[in-house]
Amino acid sequence: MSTCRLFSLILLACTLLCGCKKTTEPESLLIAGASPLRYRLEQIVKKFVAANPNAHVVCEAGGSAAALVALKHGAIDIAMLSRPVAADEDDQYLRDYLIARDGLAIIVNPSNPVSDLSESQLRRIFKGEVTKWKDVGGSEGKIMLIDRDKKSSLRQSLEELLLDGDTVKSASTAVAAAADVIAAVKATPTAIGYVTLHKMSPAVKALRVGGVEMTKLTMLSGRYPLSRSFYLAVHLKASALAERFVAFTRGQQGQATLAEDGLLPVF
Amino acid sequence: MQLEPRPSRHRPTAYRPRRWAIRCLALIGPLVTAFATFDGRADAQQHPVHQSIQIRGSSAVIPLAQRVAEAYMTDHPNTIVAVSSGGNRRGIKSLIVGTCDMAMVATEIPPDLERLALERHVQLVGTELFHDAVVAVVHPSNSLWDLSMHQLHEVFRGAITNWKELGGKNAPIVVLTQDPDSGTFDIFKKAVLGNDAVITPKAIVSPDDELIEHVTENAIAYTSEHDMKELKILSIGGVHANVRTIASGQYPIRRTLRLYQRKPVTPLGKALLDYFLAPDKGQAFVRTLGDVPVNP
Repeated sequence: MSTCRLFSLILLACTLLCGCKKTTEPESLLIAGASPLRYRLEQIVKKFVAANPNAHVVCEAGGSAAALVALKHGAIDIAMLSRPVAADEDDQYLRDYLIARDGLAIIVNPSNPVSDLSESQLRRIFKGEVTKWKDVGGSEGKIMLIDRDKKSSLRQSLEELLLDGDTVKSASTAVAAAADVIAAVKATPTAIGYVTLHKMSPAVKALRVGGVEMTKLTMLSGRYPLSRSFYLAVHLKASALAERFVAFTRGQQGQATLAEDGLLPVF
Repeated sequence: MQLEPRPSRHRPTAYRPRRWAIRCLALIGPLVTAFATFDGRADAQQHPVHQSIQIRGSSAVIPLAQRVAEAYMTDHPNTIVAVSSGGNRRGIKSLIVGTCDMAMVATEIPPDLERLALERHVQLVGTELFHDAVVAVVHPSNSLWDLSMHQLHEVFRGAITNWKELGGKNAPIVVLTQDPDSGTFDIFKKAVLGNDAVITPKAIVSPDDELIEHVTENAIAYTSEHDMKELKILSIGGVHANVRTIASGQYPIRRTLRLYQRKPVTPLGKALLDYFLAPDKGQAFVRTLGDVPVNP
């Protein structure tokens, strides 16, 4: 009798610790936010659900700003952010965890004598204000801009990180995949393009930006200027399931999964 | 008569589950911790220890933190040191709520965040990293060499408007100021004007890179560049700005940059802080960046 009671109490304690009211009902977790992160979290969600069969996880895109508002109103459990929380969005109830970094490599043909450009030089090139390599210390020839698809999240990141929200010059050549950008830059001595860290190829040359080379170290330290940070934000009083999801993403398995997807782990 | 004892008999049984629960939790708690610790140690023996630390806060400390982070990661390849900006408040708040491990701080801790730390039972411990100072500059043709803090205060709030009032020639003073969002503005405003005065609305905003052209014959400005050879740097109350006077606090227009951690400080937190303070690491970077080490 007493062992039975002890056992049931341990069970009760465990249930209370897990924070679920009824173990039989599925626990729901609503995640929303930045679209580039939504794709990156897909694998993590799969693995998390495999480890927590009772969890019902919905992951939606919709933008960082909207997600923060939804989080504050309790409409979602976790906000995915592809930028830091702004001062006017922050309050003492918000907890935003850095979960990964990613870098934008500016690539040129290996034969290009230019190997370092300042942020303002790059800004002028991508806005179409500078059109000749000669104007940025290079050789003869018109700069051929290899742009990404308009919907590409990488293009949005470039516009946020480098162009202060302005758009990339529209007349430039747009291709969808990173492999195509690399092929085009490899084939054209006057080309310039951009890819993420893990799509970098030795067939092309990555430029230093303001004297800083893109490496894991300079991205973690934040000195490489074209790197973006990804965050998961929760409310102070988040559900136990939300806490577990954040811990899972920051943990060994989550970080390894993000690394497989080409992001730079931060734990 | 018989009804009376019943509740008292029932009460212990009704309370017993709680005692049991507490005992169970008391048993499980250490077990879980012990298991986790054991697991971690076993893991560490098989693989190199993987650790990480997150730093957030004031942009004034970012250049130093970036260099320290890179040097530390080069020396300790299994450690990740991730640096993010965001400003003073964000750094301190993140440290209190546990979303970062170190906060870079350029000001006093705001009272509302001090209350937040108290509410959350978090104790913070701060360590001085370096100082940065701001100097007042005039045109080389200006006959003055020194101003008192009070005179500076009166000039920048617009109460003294002619060089004659300071012992100079009869000419109106052109006051130049910096971007109110800059650290330089922050240091100067706090040290010279305090909380009860504002910079005269007649002041013209002139960033550091345009200062030399803007500091004309009748102008006065302030900057965090300590070695502007083209301009005349004024001493303040007879004290020249140099590494020694800035570190000792004799030179008054300065601020102290600090790194905060939660108590108890972790071994990695301690090791990284030591790196910030090492004369051949962090403090050498401080010098390279043009600031003043804590122990020059």
